[in-house]
Amino acid sequence: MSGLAFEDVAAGDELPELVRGPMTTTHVMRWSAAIENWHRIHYDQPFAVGHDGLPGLLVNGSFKQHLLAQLMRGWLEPAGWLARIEMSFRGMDLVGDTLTAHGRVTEVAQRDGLGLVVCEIGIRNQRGEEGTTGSATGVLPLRGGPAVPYPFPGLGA
Amino acid sequence: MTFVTDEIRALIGVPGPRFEALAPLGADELRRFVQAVLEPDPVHWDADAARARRYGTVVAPPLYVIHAVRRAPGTPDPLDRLQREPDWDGLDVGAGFGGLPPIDVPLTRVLNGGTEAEFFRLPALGTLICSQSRYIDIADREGRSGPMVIARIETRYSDQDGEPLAQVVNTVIMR
Repeated sequence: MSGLAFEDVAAGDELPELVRGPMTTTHVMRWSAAIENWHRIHYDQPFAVGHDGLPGLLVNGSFKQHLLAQLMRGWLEPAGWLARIEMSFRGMDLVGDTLTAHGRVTEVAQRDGLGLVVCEIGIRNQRGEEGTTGSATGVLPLRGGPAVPYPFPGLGA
Repeated sequence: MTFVTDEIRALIGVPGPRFEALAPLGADELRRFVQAVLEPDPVHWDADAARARRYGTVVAPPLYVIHAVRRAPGTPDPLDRLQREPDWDGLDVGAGFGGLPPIDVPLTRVLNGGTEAEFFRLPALGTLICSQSRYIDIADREGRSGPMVIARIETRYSDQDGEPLAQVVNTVIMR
Protein backbone atom coordinates (compact mmCIF):
# COMPACT_ATOMS: atom_id res chain seq x y z
CA MET A 1 0.00 0.00 0.00
CA SER A 2 1.36 3.41 -0.90
CA GLY A 3 1.40 6.31 1.49
CA LEU A 4 3.54 7.72 4.23
CA ALA A 5 6.30 5.46 5.62
CA PHE A 6 8.19 5.91 8.87
CA GLU A 7 11.36 6.95 7.05
CA ASP A 8 9.51 9.89 5.48
CA VAL A 9 8.97 11.51 8.88
CA ALA A 10 11.33 13.40 11.17
CA ALA A 11 10.87 15.27 14.43
CA GLY A 12 10.01 18.88 13.67
CA ASP A 13 7.96 18.08 10.56
CA GLU A 14 4.74 20.07 10.25
CA LEU A 15 1.53 18.28 9.28
CA PRO A 16 -0.63 19.68 6.48
CA GLU A 17 -3.14 22.00 8.16
CA LEU A 18 -6.91 21.50 8.02
CA VAL A 19 -9.04 24.63 7.87
CA ARG A 20 -12.77 24.77 8.72
CA GLY A 21 -14.80 27.89 8.57
CA PRO A 22 -15.92 30.45 9.07
CA MET A 23 -18.13 28.23 11.24
CA THR A 24 -21.68 29.54 10.92
CA THR A 25 -24.58 29.00 13.31
CA THR A 26 -25.96 26.68 10.66
CA HIS A 27 -22.87 24.45 10.71
CA VAL A 28 -22.96 24.29 14.50
CA MET A 29 -26.72 23.62 14.52
CA ARG A 30 -26.30 20.80 11.98
CA TRP A 31 -23.57 19.22 14.10
CA SER A 32 -25.56 19.54 17.34
CA ALA A 33 -28.57 17.94 15.66
CA ALA A 34 -26.48 15.11 14.18
CA ILE A 35 -25.25 14.09 17.62
CA GLU A 36 -28.46 15.11 19.45
CA ASN A 37 -26.68 17.49 21.76
CA TRP A 38 -29.22 20.10 22.87
CA HIS A 39 -26.89 22.36 24.83
CA ARG A 40 -28.25 25.80 23.95
CA ILE A 41 -24.90 27.61 24.04
CA HIS A 42 -24.31 26.16 20.56
CA TYR A 43 -27.41 27.44 18.75
CA ASP A 44 -29.53 29.75 20.95
CA GLN A 45 -27.86 33.17 20.77
CA PRO A 46 -30.13 35.02 23.27
CA PHE A 47 -29.56 32.20 25.77
CA ALA A 48 -25.80 31.97 25.24
CA VAL A 49 -25.24 35.71 25.55
CA GLY A 50 -28.09 36.83 27.80
CA HIS A 51 -28.31 33.89 30.21
CA ASP A 52 -24.85 32.31 30.20
CA GLY A 53 -22.95 35.56 29.64
CA LEU A 54 -20.90 34.16 26.77
CA PRO A 55 -19.45 36.38 24.03
CA GLY A 56 -21.40 34.41 21.39
CA LEU A 57 -22.41 30.92 20.34
CA LEU A 58 -19.73 28.29 20.92
CA VAL A 59 -18.37 25.74 18.48
CA ASN A 60 -18.80 22.30 20.09
CA GLY A 61 -15.77 20.69 21.68
CA SER A 62 -16.95 17.42 20.16
CA PHE A 63 -16.66 18.91 16.65
CA LYS A 64 -13.11 20.00 17.42
CA GLN A 65 -12.19 16.50 18.64
CA HIS A 66 -13.16 15.06 15.29
CA LEU A 67 -11.28 17.81 13.44
CA LEU A 68 -8.06 16.77 15.21
CA ALA A 69 -8.68 13.11 14.37
CA GLN A 70 -9.21 14.17 10.72
CA LEU A 71 -5.94 16.11 10.80
CA MET A 72 -4.02 13.05 12.00
CA ARG A 73 -5.72 10.48 9.79
CA GLY A 74 -5.45 12.66 6.70
CA TRP A 75 -1.70 12.64 7.20
CA LEU A 76 -1.19 9.04 8.42
CA GLU A 77 -3.53 7.09 6.14
CA PRO A 78 -3.68 4.99 4.06
CA ALA A 79 -0.59 3.15 5.37
CA GLY A 80 -0.57 4.57 8.89
CA TRP A 81 -2.98 4.22 11.80
CA LEU A 82 -4.08 6.78 14.37
CA ALA A 83 -3.49 4.80 17.57
CA ARG A 84 -3.98 7.41 20.25
CA ILE A 85 -5.15 10.98 20.58
CA GLU A 86 -5.67 13.26 23.54
CA MET A 87 -6.82 16.84 23.81
CA SER A 88 -8.12 19.39 26.24
CA PHE A 89 -10.18 22.50 25.78
CA ARG A 90 -8.68 25.64 27.25
CA GLY A 91 -10.48 28.31 25.31
CA MET A 92 -13.67 28.99 23.43
CA ASP A 93 -14.13 29.18 19.68
CA LEU A 94 -17.14 31.18 18.59
CA VAL A 95 -19.55 31.01 15.71
CA GLY A 96 -17.92 33.12 13.00
CA ASP A 97 -14.46 31.77 13.78
CA THR A 98 -12.27 29.92 11.32
CA LEU A 99 -10.55 26.92 12.86
CA THR A 100 -7.14 25.73 11.75
CA ALA A 101 -6.04 22.30 12.97
CA HIS A 102 -2.28 21.95 13.00
CA GLY A 103 0.35 19.50 14.16
CA ARG A 104 4.07 18.95 14.46
CA VAL A 105 6.07 15.77 14.93
CA THR A 106 7.83 15.77 18.28
CA GLU A 107 9.15 12.24 18.56
CA VAL A 108 9.83 9.27 16.29
CA ALA A 109 10.73 5.76 17.42
CA GLN A 110 10.82 2.23 16.07
CA ARG A 111 9.15 -0.58 17.96
CA ASP A 112 8.53 -4.20 16.96
CA GLY A 113 9.10 -3.52 13.27
CA LEU A 114 6.78 -0.50 13.16
CA GLY A 115 7.33 3.22 13.42
CA LEU A 116 5.73 5.37 16.10
CA VAL A 117 5.30 9.09 15.55
CA VAL A 118 4.19 11.41 18.33
CA CYS A 119 2.76 14.78 17.35
CA GLU A 120 1.69 17.83 19.26
CA ILE A 121 -1.58 19.02 17.83
CA GLY A 122 -3.93 21.90 18.32
CA ILE A 123 -6.61 24.14 16.89
CA ARG A 124 -6.20 27.89 16.60
CA ASN A 125 -8.70 30.45 15.44
CA GLN A 126 -8.18 33.52 13.28
CA ARG A 127 -7.40 35.58 16.39
CA GLY A 128 -4.43 33.28 16.99
CA GLU A 129 -6.02 31.76 20.10
CA GLU A 130 -5.07 28.14 20.79
CA GLY A 131 -8.30 26.96 22.36
CA THR A 132 -7.60 23.25 21.92
CA THR A 133 -4.27 21.53 22.49
CA GLY A 134 -3.26 17.91 22.59
CA SER A 135 -1.04 15.17 21.31
CA ALA A 136 -1.43 12.09 19.15
CA THR A 137 0.48 8.93 18.35
CA GLY A 138 0.45 7.42 14.89
CA VAL A 139 1.82 4.09 13.74
CA LEU A 140 3.54 3.91 10.36
CA PRO A 141 5.03 0.99 8.48
CA LEU A 142 8.77 0.95 7.86
CA ARG A 143 9.59 1.32 4.17
CA GLY A 144 9.44 -2.18 2.69
CA GLY A 145 8.31 -3.51 6.09
CA PRO A 146 5.07 -5.24 7.12
CA ALA A 147 1.78 -3.36 7.09
CA VAL A 148 0.40 -1.91 10.31
CA PRO A 149 -1.82 -4.69 11.72
CA TYR A 150 -5.58 -4.17 11.54
CA PRO A 151 -7.39 -4.47 13.91
CA PHE A 152 -4.64 -2.64 15.75
CA PRO A 153 -3.80 -4.37 19.05
CA GLY A 154 -3.01 -1.15 20.91
CA LEU A 155 0.17 0.59 21.94
CA GLY A 156 0.38 -1.21 25.29
CA ALA A 157 1.72 0.44 28.39
CA MET B 1 -11.05 21.25 51.78
CA THR B 2 -11.66 17.69 50.58
CA PHE B 3 -14.82 16.08 49.31
CA VAL B 4 -13.78 12.60 48.25
CA THR B 5 -14.84 10.18 50.97
CA ASP B 6 -14.14 6.45 51.22
CA GLU B 7 -17.68 5.91 50.00
CA ILE B 8 -16.97 7.94 46.86
CA ARG B 9 -13.58 6.26 46.39
CA ALA B 10 -15.34 2.88 46.45
CA LEU B 11 -16.90 3.81 43.08
CA ILE B 12 -13.50 3.57 41.39
CA GLY B 13 -13.18 0.50 39.20
CA VAL B 14 -16.81 -0.61 39.44
CA PRO B 15 -18.16 -1.18 35.90
CA GLY B 16 -21.30 0.75 35.05
CA PRO B 17 -24.19 -0.52 32.94
CA ARG B 18 -23.48 -1.86 29.48
CA PHE B 19 -25.12 0.17 26.74
CA GLU B 20 -25.88 -0.77 23.16
CA ALA B 21 -26.63 1.44 20.20
CA LEU B 22 -30.32 1.27 19.25
CA ALA B 23 -29.46 -0.43 15.96
CA PRO B 24 -26.48 -1.64 13.95
CA LEU B 25 -24.58 1.22 12.30
CA GLY B 26 -26.58 2.25 9.24
CA ALA B 27 -25.46 3.97 6.05
CA ASP B 28 -27.92 6.86 6.30
CA GLU B 29 -27.10 7.62 9.91
CA LEU B 30 -23.40 7.57 9.04
CA ARG B 31 -24.00 9.82 6.01
CA ARG B 32 -25.70 12.44 8.16
CA PHE B 33 -22.84 12.27 10.65
CA VAL B 34 -19.98 12.57 8.16
CA GLN B 35 -21.69 15.46 6.40
CA ALA B 36 -22.17 17.34 9.67
CA VAL B 37 -18.59 16.75 10.82
CA LEU B 38 -17.20 17.82 7.41
CA GLU B 39 -15.37 14.51 7.09
CA PRO B 40 -13.08 14.48 4.05
CA ASP B 41 -12.18 10.75 3.84
CA PRO B 42 -14.36 8.74 1.38
CA VAL B 43 -13.85 5.47 3.32
CA HIS B 44 -16.74 6.81 5.42
CA TRP B 45 -19.25 6.69 2.53
CA ASP B 46 -17.75 5.13 -0.59
CA ALA B 47 -17.62 1.32 -0.70
CA ASP B 48 -14.97 1.30 -3.45
CA ALA B 49 -12.71 3.65 -1.50
CA ALA B 50 -13.12 1.50 1.60
CA ARG B 51 -12.34 -1.70 -0.35
CA ALA B 52 -9.08 -0.16 -1.56
CA ARG B 53 -8.01 0.44 2.05
CA ARG B 54 -7.54 -1.80 5.10
CA TYR B 55 -11.22 -1.50 6.02
CA GLY B 56 -12.81 -3.51 3.22
CA THR B 57 -16.18 -1.89 3.88
CA VAL B 58 -17.52 1.55 4.76
CA VAL B 59 -16.55 2.53 8.31
CA ALA B 60 -17.31 5.34 10.76
CA PRO B 61 -14.63 7.83 11.87
CA PRO B 62 -12.72 6.72 14.98
CA LEU B 63 -14.46 8.98 17.52
CA TYR B 64 -17.93 8.19 16.16
CA VAL B 65 -18.33 5.69 19.01
CA ILE B 66 -18.77 8.44 21.59
CA HIS B 67 -22.06 9.43 19.94
CA ALA B 68 -23.34 5.92 19.22
CA VAL B 69 -25.66 5.35 22.15
CA ARG B 70 -28.86 7.37 21.72
CA ARG B 71 -32.18 7.80 23.50
CA ALA B 72 -34.65 5.07 22.66
CA PRO B 73 -38.03 6.08 21.24
CA GLY B 74 -40.81 5.96 23.81
CA THR B 75 -38.55 7.05 26.66
CA PRO B 76 -39.07 10.39 28.47
CA ASP B 77 -38.13 13.38 26.32
CA PRO B 78 -35.35 15.39 28.00
CA LEU B 79 -36.65 18.55 26.31
CA ASP B 80 -39.87 18.30 28.40
CA ARG B 81 -37.76 19.94 31.09
CA LEU B 82 -37.87 23.21 29.11
CA GLN B 83 -41.63 23.42 29.77
CA ARG B 84 -41.06 23.48 33.52
CA GLU B 85 -37.71 25.22 33.51
CA PRO B 86 -37.38 27.62 30.55
CA ASP B 87 -33.87 28.66 31.61
CA TRP B 88 -32.48 25.10 31.50
CA ASP B 89 -29.35 25.12 29.34
CA GLY B 90 -30.25 21.90 27.51
CA LEU B 91 -27.18 20.07 28.76
CA ASP B 92 -27.72 16.60 30.16
CA VAL B 93 -24.85 16.60 32.64
CA GLY B 94 -25.38 12.95 33.52
CA ALA B 95 -24.83 11.90 29.91
CA GLY B 96 -21.09 12.44 30.29
CA PHE B 97 -20.94 9.89 33.09
CA GLY B 98 -21.80 6.77 31.10
CA GLY B 99 -24.61 5.71 33.44
CA LEU B 100 -22.25 5.62 36.43
CA PRO B 101 -23.55 6.58 39.86
CA PRO B 102 -23.12 10.34 40.41
CA ILE B 103 -20.30 11.59 42.59
CA ASP B 104 -22.15 13.12 45.52
CA VAL B 105 -20.22 16.32 46.26
CA PRO B 106 -21.54 19.86 46.82
CA LEU B 107 -20.01 21.20 43.60
CA THR B 108 -22.35 22.40 40.89
CA ARG B 109 -20.22 23.21 37.83
CA VAL B 110 -19.13 20.33 35.63
CA LEU B 111 -16.41 21.04 33.07
CA ASN B 112 -14.84 18.91 30.38
CA GLY B 113 -11.21 18.52 31.38
CA GLY B 114 -10.14 16.66 28.27
CA THR B 115 -10.31 13.44 26.31
CA GLU B 116 -7.83 10.65 25.67
CA ALA B 117 -8.70 7.95 23.16
CA GLU B 118 -7.08 4.81 21.81
CA PHE B 119 -8.31 3.16 18.64
CA PHE B 120 -8.26 -0.50 17.69
CA ARG B 121 -10.75 -0.74 14.84
CA LEU B 122 -13.30 1.47 13.11
CA PRO B 123 -16.98 0.51 13.34
CA ALA B 124 -18.13 -0.89 10.01
CA LEU B 125 -21.64 -0.62 8.62
CA GLY B 126 -23.70 -3.24 10.48
CA THR B 127 -21.63 -3.06 13.68
CA LEU B 128 -23.68 -2.83 16.87
CA ILE B 129 -21.64 -0.46 19.03
CA CYS B 130 -21.63 -1.30 22.75
CA SER B 131 -20.12 0.69 25.61
CA GLN B 132 -19.33 0.32 29.27
CA SER B 133 -17.80 2.90 31.60
CA ARG B 134 -16.09 2.96 34.96
CA TYR B 135 -14.37 5.54 37.11
CA ILE B 136 -10.63 5.01 37.05
CA ASP B 137 -9.83 7.90 39.37
CA ILE B 138 -11.69 10.35 41.63
CA ALA B 139 -9.55 12.85 43.48
CA ASP B 140 -9.65 16.17 45.28
CA ARG B 141 -7.62 19.02 43.89
CA GLU B 142 -7.13 22.59 45.00
CA GLY B 143 -7.76 24.84 42.00
CA ARG B 144 -7.12 28.53 41.60
CA SER B 145 -10.86 29.18 42.02
CA GLY B 146 -11.23 26.87 45.02
CA PRO B 147 -11.60 23.17 45.71
CA MET B 148 -12.31 20.83 42.80
CA VAL B 149 -12.95 17.16 42.29
CA ILE B 150 -11.38 15.56 39.23
CA ALA B 151 -12.90 12.32 37.98
CA ARG B 152 -11.51 10.19 35.16
CA ILE B 153 -14.06 8.03 33.38
CA GLU B 154 -12.92 5.25 31.11
CA THR B 155 -15.34 3.96 28.48
CA ARG B 156 -14.62 0.84 26.47
CA TYR B 157 -16.39 0.51 23.14
CA SER B 158 -16.77 -2.83 21.48
CA ASP B 159 -18.81 -4.51 18.77
CA GLN B 160 -21.60 -7.05 19.30
CA ASP B 161 -19.01 -9.84 19.70
CA GLY B 162 -17.05 -7.98 22.35
CA GLU B 163 -14.20 -7.13 19.98
CA PRO B 164 -12.68 -3.80 21.05
CA LEU B 165 -13.21 -0.69 18.91
CA ALA B 166 -11.87 2.09 21.09
CA GLN B 167 -11.17 3.12 24.64
CA VAL B 168 -11.85 6.68 25.73
CA VAL B 169 -10.95 8.40 29.00
CA ASN B 170 -12.81 11.60 29.83
CA THR B 171 -11.65 13.89 32.58
CA VAL B 172 -14.48 15.67 34.32
CA ILE B 173 -13.83 18.64 36.57
CA MET B 174 -16.39 19.44 39.26
CA ARG B 175 -16.07 22.72 41.03
